[in-house]
Amino acid sequence: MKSKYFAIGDQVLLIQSTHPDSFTVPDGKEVDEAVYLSHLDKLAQKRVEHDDQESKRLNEHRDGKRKEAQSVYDEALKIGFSDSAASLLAQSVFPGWLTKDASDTQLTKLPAVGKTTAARLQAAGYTTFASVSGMTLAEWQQFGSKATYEKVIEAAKALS
Amino acid sequence: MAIFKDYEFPSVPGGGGGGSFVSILTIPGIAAISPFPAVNIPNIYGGQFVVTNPLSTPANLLIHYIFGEALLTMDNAVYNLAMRGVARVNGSTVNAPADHDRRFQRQIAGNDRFSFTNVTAEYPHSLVLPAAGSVTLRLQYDWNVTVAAAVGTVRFEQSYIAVMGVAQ
Repeated sequence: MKSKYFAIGDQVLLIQSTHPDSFTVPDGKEVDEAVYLSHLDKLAQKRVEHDDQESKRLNEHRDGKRKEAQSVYDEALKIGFSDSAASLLAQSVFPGWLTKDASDTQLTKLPAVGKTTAARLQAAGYTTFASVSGMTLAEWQQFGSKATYEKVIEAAKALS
Repeated sequence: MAIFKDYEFPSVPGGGGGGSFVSILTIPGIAAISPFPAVNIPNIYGGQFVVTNPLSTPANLLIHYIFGEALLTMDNAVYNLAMRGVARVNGSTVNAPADHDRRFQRQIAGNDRFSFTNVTAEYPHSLVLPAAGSVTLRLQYDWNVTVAAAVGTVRFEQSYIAVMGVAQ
């Protein structure tokens, strides 16, 4: 097996072949191994930089979400949600809000909150959950979002 | 370094004395696409090469498209987002990309990383290449998304096209 290297755009491709002259890259410029190795080094360096940037961005995002979750929790308590239900709502905004390592097991409790909320709203005169949230209960359970919960909370406020 | 660098390929039997050849294209991957697109992007990433039959007789080609890993990092909920592997011969898609499709949904808003590990695994394809005939083989990824209301990036790891030719 012999190796050939081709630069094309911002890529450097490697061809290893028993018949290297039978393989080529259209519009590619053949380069030597050093260029390929340099490309791999730059790629690795960019990935490290990217990981650092992403970690920073995610941490900032996580902090923002934590504040949002706290707001949802406080608001839910004000309108009469139990502490556990309010906590679950908050965790739906940011799964790590309480435990920082929330598992999917915890999140599976959310549909129960949805059902309870839907039942309360329906008992108060709303015939379907969709009438207050803009989504069916199934949709809410499947695609729980902060915006949806805000609608629910607004509806619950109107009932209180 | 490519994982096939030191692999010793055995001689290919059944060549009828006409010979054989083996080749592998390594597509090293990219650092990241940031932010990742919220719309479908065919050929968001890929690579290709041209194979010319070095034998004096037609050759049976066995081609393996080996799709790699993609790493997704996102802030918010992502619905129905997929990395779709596409195998092409002379510009025509030869696999069923929907079968080589790793789909992702995160229903609860939050931040996360998701690895499209073994995105689409491997797709084998065969054809007959005339003596001195050429064919263009391409491996690419299509970004397929229904709703991606998220901020994030996507990174691609190495992919390969492996070709084994045997004289008919």
